[in-house]
Amino acid sequence: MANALLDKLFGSNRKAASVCLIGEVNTGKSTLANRIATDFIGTSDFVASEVPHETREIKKIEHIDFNVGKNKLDVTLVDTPGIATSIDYREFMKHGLNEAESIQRAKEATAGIVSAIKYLKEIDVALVLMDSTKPPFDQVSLTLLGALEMQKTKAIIVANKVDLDSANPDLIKSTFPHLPVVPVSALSGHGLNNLYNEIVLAA
Amino acid sequence: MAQLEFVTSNKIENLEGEELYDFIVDRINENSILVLEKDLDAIERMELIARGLERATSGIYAGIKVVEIKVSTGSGGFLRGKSRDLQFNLITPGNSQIEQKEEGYYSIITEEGAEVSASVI
Repeated sequence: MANALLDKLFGSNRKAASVCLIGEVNTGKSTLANRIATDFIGTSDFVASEVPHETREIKKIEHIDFNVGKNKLDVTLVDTPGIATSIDYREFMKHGLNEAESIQRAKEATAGIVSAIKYLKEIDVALVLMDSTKPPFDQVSLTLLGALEMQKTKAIIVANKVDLDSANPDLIKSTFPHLPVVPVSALSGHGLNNLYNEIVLAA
Repeated sequence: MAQLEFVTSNKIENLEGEELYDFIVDRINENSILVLEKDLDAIERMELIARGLERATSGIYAGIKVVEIKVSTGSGGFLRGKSRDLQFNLITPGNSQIEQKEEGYYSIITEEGAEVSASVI
């Protein structure tokens, strides 16, 4: 509040950056978005769930005072629907939804994926979420990273879920040696300070 | 029955803007397997993913799989006289299984179990 007032009176010299969480389905984007928002503004309402495609619309929190050491950024934090190349409403029925609900969710998820892909052009810093317990060779991640590189968007790979026994963030690091890879657990908060430093460097 | 279709660079150049993505999605939805005389870049592939999903309205969509095919100079067949490596894309429905037998030769098993062989040499 005080910062916003000072900015209004004297103008802001903080650099603005749109920081976007993007990646495959169920890699922990909303959990991480919640963690980041809570760390910097003390509250958050991104919804995370184990049911795939819980996030079906792009959600933003604007004007986060992103203060890391001596660096200050005016961050717009963006959570996006998980990107998939295919959709099958029957998957949602395995999570307890009935057929009509599942078909509706599949349609919303499809629209959400398209909106996430189109949003790629708006990003300043992309946090590309990967699940460290899975091999990082999926068509989605490889294509996504290629597209970000082509449009010269700064990308940080977030190797999430390192709290799990089967996590192998080193495989992600060795697969993408030309990109910053930050192992984190969005659930426990492990590695987040490293991630915040990387965001400041990238912005 | 899956059909194999070779799409020449001339044909691709004549398709403007999103017409190429619509053309690919149409053909894949009609059960074709395409060999494209072009290597789609990452942005084009993302656009293709989005275009396919935009047109999927039933709640079930298998997606589109794109595999890069690189053929070296000196390969046999109709590429014998080419002076540089050539790149193609093999494009199939997302639920197909693709196996490379050797350089330029691929076997595709469709969801229905049909086997299609593709060769670009």
